[in-house]
Amino acid sequence: MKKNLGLLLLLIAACIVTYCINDRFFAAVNIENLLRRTALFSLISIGAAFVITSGGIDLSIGSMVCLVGTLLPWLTTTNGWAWPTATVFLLAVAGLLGAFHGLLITKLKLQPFIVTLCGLLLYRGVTRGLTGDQTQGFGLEFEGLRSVALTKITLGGLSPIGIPSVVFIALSAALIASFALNRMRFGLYLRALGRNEVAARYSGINTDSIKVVAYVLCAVLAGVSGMLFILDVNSAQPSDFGNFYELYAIAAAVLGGCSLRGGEVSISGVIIGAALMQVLRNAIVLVDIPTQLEFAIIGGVILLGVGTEEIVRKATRRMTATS
Amino acid sequence: MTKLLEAHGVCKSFGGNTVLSDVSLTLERGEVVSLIGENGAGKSTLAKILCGIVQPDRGTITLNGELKTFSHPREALAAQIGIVHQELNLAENLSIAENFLLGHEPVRYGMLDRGRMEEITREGLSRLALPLDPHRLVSTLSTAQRQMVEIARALSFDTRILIFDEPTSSLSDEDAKLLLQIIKMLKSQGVAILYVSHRLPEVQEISDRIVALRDGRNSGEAASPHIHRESLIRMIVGRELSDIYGYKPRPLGSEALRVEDFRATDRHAPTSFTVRAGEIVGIAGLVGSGRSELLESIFGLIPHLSGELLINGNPISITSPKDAWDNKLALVPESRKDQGVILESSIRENIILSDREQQSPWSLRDSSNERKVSDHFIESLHIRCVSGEQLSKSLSGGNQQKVVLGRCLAAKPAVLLLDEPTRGVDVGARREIYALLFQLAEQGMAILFVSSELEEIIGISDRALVMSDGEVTGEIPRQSLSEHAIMTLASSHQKVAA
Repeated sequence: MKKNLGLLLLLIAACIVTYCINDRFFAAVNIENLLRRTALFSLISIGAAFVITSGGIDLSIGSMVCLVGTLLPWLTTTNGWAWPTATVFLLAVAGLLGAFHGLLITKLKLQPFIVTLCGLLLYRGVTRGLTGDQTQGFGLEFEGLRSVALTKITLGGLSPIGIPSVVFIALSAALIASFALNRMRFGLYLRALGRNEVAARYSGINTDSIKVVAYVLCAVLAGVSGMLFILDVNSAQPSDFGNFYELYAIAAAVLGGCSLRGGEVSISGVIIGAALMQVLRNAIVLVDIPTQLEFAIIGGVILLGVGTEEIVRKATRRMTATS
Repeated sequence: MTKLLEAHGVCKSFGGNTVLSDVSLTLERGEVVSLIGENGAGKSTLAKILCGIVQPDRGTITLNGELKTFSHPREALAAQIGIVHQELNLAENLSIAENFLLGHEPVRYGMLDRGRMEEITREGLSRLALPLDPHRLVSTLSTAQRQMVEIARALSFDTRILIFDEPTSSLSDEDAKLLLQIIKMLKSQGVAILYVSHRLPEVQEISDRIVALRDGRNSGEAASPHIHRESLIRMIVGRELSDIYGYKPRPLGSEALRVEDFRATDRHAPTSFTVRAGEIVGIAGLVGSGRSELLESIFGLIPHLSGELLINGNPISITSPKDAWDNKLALVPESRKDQGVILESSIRENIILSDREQQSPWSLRDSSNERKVSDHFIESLHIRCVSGEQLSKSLSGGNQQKVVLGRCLAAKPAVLLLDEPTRGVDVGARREIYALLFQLAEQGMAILFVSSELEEIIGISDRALVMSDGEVTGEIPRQSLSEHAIMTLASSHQKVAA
């Protein structure tokens, strides 16, 4: 947690600055909105964190969100599938595609960047082809299913605001991920593999299967969040649904302390990273910065955060070295 | 009379570790001088000093009686001294011509003069009668062809002195023959050649004179070909064994590892041997004799071609390192930093990494047990650290090696394999590692290790296997173990050009 202190301070600072400029920031509806978006982006960021810890990268997250997210209404409304069949089927597809990435990377020794870049192009292309590039949504149907993402929970009146249900979904995912990374041998192996793959293999770790699992987890989490995203917004265009989400996920993971060299991960950091990104996007709207500048602001803040951290780390190392 | 090249009183140490002390060497025009010695005797360092890659701490180098100091290989090249390295130094993704003139490209109008490049390259290749197209990518060339290109390149600077650093270590017998012919041809053209090698047959064949180094000092010089192999070996090894080993005989148990008709790679001959519980067996041989590959193949890192492995009498199948660990084999790998210790992980995480009781990724970590196990090995192996939480990269080489050993022992193996167990380890830690190996053997561990240091093989083995060209050429029991016996077997199998 100590490692994430700087990031947490940055998050709090961003919240306070935004609030000072526009006090609607702490309005119940805004906080609920922020929580929901943070939860949804946390899911894909946790997935990205697994892959990054293994020393890899997944660029196909956004397209996977699009594939699963738009095909869910397409299968259920246009093609008349029952929703349980459709959800199970789509999550299985996501898992298989993740396994496919992992196998191409471990068995064919293709580079993760290339494999998942092709995934990025393929899955969006396939989705647009299947749906005829038409906007997909549930209309007024499937209210029961949509309530999974839309329900707000006040904890029996204990909470002053309605906490979106997806927050609990994301929290459960984060707890399970933390458990796997810190309390199971899986986390030990994943870190070892990210730090020194050769030594990990020599130590008897089945490095290939651990890597495949990381890609499967990433793809399935992207699929789950794709479903929750579409249930939340109700309608989506295959041409832009989930665009750039992989970059938000990777940025959150890196802000949260994952090293792109692999081997380092902290789930709480990843979630704070995802939250920071959503607060920034929110701030841009509330502070009346032209939305065209959104990417510029986010890029700048990430660079600032990562750069400051490195400078502070170097300085403390120098101080401990001289003392 | 002034010699073409004369090195006198050359000293060099790296971080307190003396590699060369007061070494002298001379070379005449048209003469082939071989520099021989064990691994670590200082041969390569001397070669690197002569061609400006490494700078000596003391000593002089004179060229035609003129004092020279080279602070960069370029300066040596300008003085017409070239080197052909042990590891080939060509950029694979460039063409022969681009490699040939790398850093010396002819330029016209500010652009590469491709025509001239091709011309120079063609000329250089023709000197060695190499029928190669200058446009060919180096990646499409065989190892031998690459070496020829390197030689041709080294000669293209009107080189008067050409140094070969272990040139045949990566060549097949056929190609080695060809290389020796080329060296004879260069000699007849008046090029002076310094030939660094530990392959005695070829050294005897081509040299006019042989200079031996031992522990960084001149240990003998003789005119070839009138010298016997025996005398050469004495020049290389003849020294007292300082006893840092403390070998004591111990009772041996039943057979723990049996390797039967085992063929590691297509460079290897089928091999059979056994290691008994409590026995320490060393595998000796020259670099490139296939020792490490044999060990790695037993451990499942390289798929073996044929043959069987039996542990405690049970046939086992090993296709991955995980299989090896599961079958009670453990390996301390050759390269500690690349294959052994995970530098960015804590000592504890390194030690518990191969624990067999909890090896499934989905098993829960038992932190109190992890702490107990790692603290146990930190204490029993005397790993010098503040706590098990400390990152492994903060440890010295010897202590990192002990961490890797701890990982092996925590997996409770029946057979411990070690590849160069004390490479880059200081004498103090070395002594501790030997004591530990004896203690493990005492407790019934079967130990099989590869070492390039003859002293080490002799110092701790109950029995030694000697490999040459992928074949086990002999087995020597402890009472007849000597450097001489090992060297004879290690070079026995080398076919020489007629």
